[in-house]
Amino acid sequence: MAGMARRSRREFAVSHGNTVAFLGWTVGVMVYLATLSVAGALFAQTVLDRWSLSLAGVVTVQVPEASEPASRGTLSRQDAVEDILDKTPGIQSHTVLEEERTRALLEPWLGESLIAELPLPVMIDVQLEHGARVDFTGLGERITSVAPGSVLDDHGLWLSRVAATASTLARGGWIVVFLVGLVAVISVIFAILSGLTVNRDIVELLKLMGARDTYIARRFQGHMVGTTLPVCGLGGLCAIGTVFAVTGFARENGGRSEALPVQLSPTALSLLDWAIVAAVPLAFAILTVVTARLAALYALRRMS
Amino acid sequence: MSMMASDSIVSFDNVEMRYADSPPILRNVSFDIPLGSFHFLTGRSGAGKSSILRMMYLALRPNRGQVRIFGRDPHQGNASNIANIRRRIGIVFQDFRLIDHLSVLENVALPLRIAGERESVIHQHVSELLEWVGLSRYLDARPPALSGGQQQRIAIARAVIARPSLLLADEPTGNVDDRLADRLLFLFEELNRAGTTVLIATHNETMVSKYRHPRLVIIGEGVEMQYSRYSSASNFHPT
Repeated sequence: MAGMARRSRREFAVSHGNTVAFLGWTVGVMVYLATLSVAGALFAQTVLDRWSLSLAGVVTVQVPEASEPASRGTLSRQDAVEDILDKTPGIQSHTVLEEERTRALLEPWLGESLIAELPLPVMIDVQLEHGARVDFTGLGERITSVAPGSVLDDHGLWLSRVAATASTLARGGWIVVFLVGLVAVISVIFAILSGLTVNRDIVELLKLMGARDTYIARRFQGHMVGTTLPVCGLGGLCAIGTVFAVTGFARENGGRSEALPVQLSPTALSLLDWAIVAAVPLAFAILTVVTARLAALYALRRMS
Repeated sequence: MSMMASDSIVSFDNVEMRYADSPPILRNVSFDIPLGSFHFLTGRSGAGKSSILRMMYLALRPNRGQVRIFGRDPHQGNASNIANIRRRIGIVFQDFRLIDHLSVLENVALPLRIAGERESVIHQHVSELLEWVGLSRYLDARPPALSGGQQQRIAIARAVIARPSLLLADEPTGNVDDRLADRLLFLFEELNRAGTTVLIATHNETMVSKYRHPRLVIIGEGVEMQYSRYSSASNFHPT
């Protein structure tokens, strides 16, 4: 393939060198953007998946003023709520979060100084049995009847908002890839048509020698391989480098927060995800080469 | 004895050629060029010699009449048919049409590369031919660095490298001295003896008169076949 590209580069004048260099840089930048977009979309999807997984079958009960007496009976509000949880069918276990952990969870959202001043509720993580159907409305009513002001959170609203955001991010990423691909195709078509115009004399000469359109198109295709393959690789490498740099920066600036279910690090993506990211430059290289061939064949047929 | 059309490598039948709305430069032109023959095509400058050659190498289509190459109408069938016919034709262009950024070797090698020949064979054949035309020292040179005569020899080498069945040359000795012109003509005759049909368009009457090959002479809008009194009768096939 390299030999073909070398010979093709020689056979056509490439007197439009600036156009070709411009195309190379353009495709390189497009590959960079597309690879970044795909990586971003996959990160967003991964965060959503991990979040959904970590919150599946879990509800949280917040009990304010937990040590105060309950509305009924002799138990404290916290004990009364735990008693209700113990007696509710479908609940496998419940764990009271230590105050330090609760502070650590809320600190990124509220700030260190505010957290120190605020009276924090007791947080109870409730683990449901697999496949259990619990009447959360009834459970919530029973809890507030003994500890008014308590909140039962099944994370449904939170998850749906996160899902919507992540899905928008992911979809946006793929739309960017599509648009960038479209612009790449248009750029290649323009470059091929301009190349054919500039090299019209040579194309005619080759035809008079008996060259078929496929032979000439292969020359353009080989030329495109030589021009775009290195820049596609370079664009992809730069994008992957950027992913590493950004995730490293995010980790050092709070991205390691307890609030996130997944660390912002390259290892957050699976091997398959990384294979998809790595395939973007390759896909662009194939796209430009195939586009070059088809555009050249189309233009050559019109020249005949 | 009249020549059968099937024995003709090129056959013009009542061909008319005009450019745009101008009057025809060729009208009712009919002739046959027999397989294995050697002809000169002469006429004053602008008479239509290049147009006749262009119709032969299928760069032009006649406005009227029919041109048959290798016994068939080249424009019937697909583009691949035209490409196949052109591969059997070697062309020496008046303006050489060398590719400036390619070396001498690469220019001459083009027809073989198009034909899909192996690189080792290409290098060997091209080197031998360039040796013959006296340009073996310039394998890696670029055409703009060479003289007009040297460029003309490259153009001729490129036209004959693939051993074409039909060689069409447009003023192939226009830029070389008499000694080299004779040598090139000798090369064309050698090719002709090896079976290649040769047609040379020229206005160089001195050169033409030295050879006894028949001439196609463009007179007015028509073409007339003329024979040297020294020519062998077996070479003559008037239509």
